[in-house]
Amino acid sequence: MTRQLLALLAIAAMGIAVGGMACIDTINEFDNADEGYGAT
Amino acid sequence: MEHGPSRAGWGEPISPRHALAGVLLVVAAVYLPTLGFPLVYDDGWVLSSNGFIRHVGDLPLLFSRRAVQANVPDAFRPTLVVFDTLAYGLLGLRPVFHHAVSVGLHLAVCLSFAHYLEKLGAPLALRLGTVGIFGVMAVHAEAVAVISFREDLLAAWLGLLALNLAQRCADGQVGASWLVVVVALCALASGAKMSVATLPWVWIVARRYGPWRRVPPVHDRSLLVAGALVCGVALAVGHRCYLYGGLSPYGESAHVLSNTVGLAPVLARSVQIHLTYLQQLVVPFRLSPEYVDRAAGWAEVATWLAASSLGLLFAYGVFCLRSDRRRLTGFSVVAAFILALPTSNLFPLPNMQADRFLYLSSAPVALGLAAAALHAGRWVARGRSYSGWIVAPLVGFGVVQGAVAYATAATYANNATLWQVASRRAPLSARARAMVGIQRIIATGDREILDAKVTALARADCRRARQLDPQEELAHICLGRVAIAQRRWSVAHGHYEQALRRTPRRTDLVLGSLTQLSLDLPSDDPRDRYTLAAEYASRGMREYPYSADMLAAAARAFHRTGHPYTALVLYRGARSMRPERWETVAAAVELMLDLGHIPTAQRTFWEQRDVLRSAPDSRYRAIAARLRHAQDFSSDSVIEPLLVPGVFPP
Repeated sequence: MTRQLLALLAIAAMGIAVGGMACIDTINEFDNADEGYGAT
Repeated sequence: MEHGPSRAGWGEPISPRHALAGVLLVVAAVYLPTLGFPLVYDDGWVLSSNGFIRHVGDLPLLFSRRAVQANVPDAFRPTLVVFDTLAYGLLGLRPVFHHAVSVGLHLAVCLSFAHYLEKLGAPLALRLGTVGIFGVMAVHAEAVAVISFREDLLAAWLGLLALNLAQRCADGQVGASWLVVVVALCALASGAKMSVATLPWVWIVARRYGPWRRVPPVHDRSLLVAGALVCGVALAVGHRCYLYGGLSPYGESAHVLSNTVGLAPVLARSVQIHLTYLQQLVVPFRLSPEYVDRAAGWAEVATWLAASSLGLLFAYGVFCLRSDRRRLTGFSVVAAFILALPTSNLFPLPNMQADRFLYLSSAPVALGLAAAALHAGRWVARGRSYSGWIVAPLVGFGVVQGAVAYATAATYANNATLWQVASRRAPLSARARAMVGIQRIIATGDREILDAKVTALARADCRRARQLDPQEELAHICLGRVAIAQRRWSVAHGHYEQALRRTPRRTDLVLGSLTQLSLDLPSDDPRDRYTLAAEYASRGMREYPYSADMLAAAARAFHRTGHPYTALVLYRGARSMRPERWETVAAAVELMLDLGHIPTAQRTFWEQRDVLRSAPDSRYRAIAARLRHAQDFSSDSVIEPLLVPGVFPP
């Protein structure tokens, strides 16, 4: 049973990873600077 | 949790602990990529340039009004400030560790939620399903992926710990003396973020209308425990009222829309927002790092539709609470409404809408959705030989939520991506557009002169931002930065002054820039410029004594105007506020070279070489070359740097 659950969770994780990568909004990056004014 | 094996719904025994651990692993996997993200959004204000978290001895200041006067970031959230101080003290400023803390906090919230559901009597399958759905919900991406929004996670975790202990106290499983801890946990949770202030009412509703039958305790202390929970919130509210003379830390700020248009139009819009929230929770699309605040009318069709939908939903929830068969639905609906109250814009907020506001209020929604998915699963599995079909809708829903969460978290991969996505999703946001312009300039790095294309694009962004909202200070900061890049000092000074007029909050960077720019203004008498710079520096240091960037700007100004020893003291102060800032160290080395203290400059360079390596290559090489050149003309022996202390004593 534990094995079945683990298999199910592994499939779910893979589904999330594949779906997530497909959904990512592609943006051309300027840079990865950490400087920023806040929003709140 | 149960200690023995249980049945999850498809036949065979399962260990609750192993099953929960497995679910938490999947939740952690969704946010694993965030460990590689840098500091973004408010992280600079809260962590990088926040000198307060580097001065542990000043923490008692959080309990006095001086914290507000000194503009300590998030002074109205003392638990969070203490947590940030501890986190910085233990982990330094490496983003990977702080992101790991955020993911850890999210998992701790999931675990505490699972424990609370168990104490309420929820069956294992529902507990696992609820925690799984809550853990991967797409609306949580912002709260988990942005380090400075861990306030929501911390508050939720402490609040759920308080509820768990409250439940044990009320059932007589622990002594009444633990009520003190309940009060403390609830006060700490509210001190991290007031969004948990209504959590005691969820506990009261669960106690009175719990969805699952429980054995009545021999010594029921419900009333006493409810009092303790409310008392904890009251302590945090009292602290805030003492600091600010009222509930709101934002005062009359123009960033709070209700301060300019009144409460009624804001609430009308808020009703519409809450219907959107419901959609985002159930069908996760149109999530955004930015939303535009605007008022609405109570006569608008959208307001009426939203108000009647939410009103009917709440009435249905209350009705279901009274029915034994539908109590779970009733509890989910009513608890979600209760938890949404603090961020419902009844109380002043500088952002009317944000994904992170849904963090805690999504917990009862996750419970309702998991129950509905399992119910649908039972319908799907009917007549089929394999009972595993029961979890199919739940897993399917979780995969969709998790995939969107994974993709949404990628929005926060860096500031450039974040603000471009924000500008695309909220095209009418002046703030997002101005930030895109600023990011364009930052992206050029250490180039002395921007190329014409970048300048034109950035200026177009800044002007569009100013057109969208003439009162948005970031539009002027953006225009100021473009002017600085073009070395048009007077124009830049004018824009920064405009920005300063438009906001009373977080002006340390503006004051720092004005301090520097004042020295570059054209004037017949340089003393006029010096006086102006000194005025800005003095105001900045008075208003923001914990701002490393402000102190560094003031130090640079004194350095440039021929006050080296004042500059030295300020450089030391700036470094103590933000030891990771290479600009401060480089400027201090240059100051020593200007004074002819070559061994001290060399010693400082050598001691701080790790910090200086963060500087752009050209700058690092220039300082090193200047040191070598100075050494060539120096009469000091080569071992002299070993005998003198550096600028920053250990």
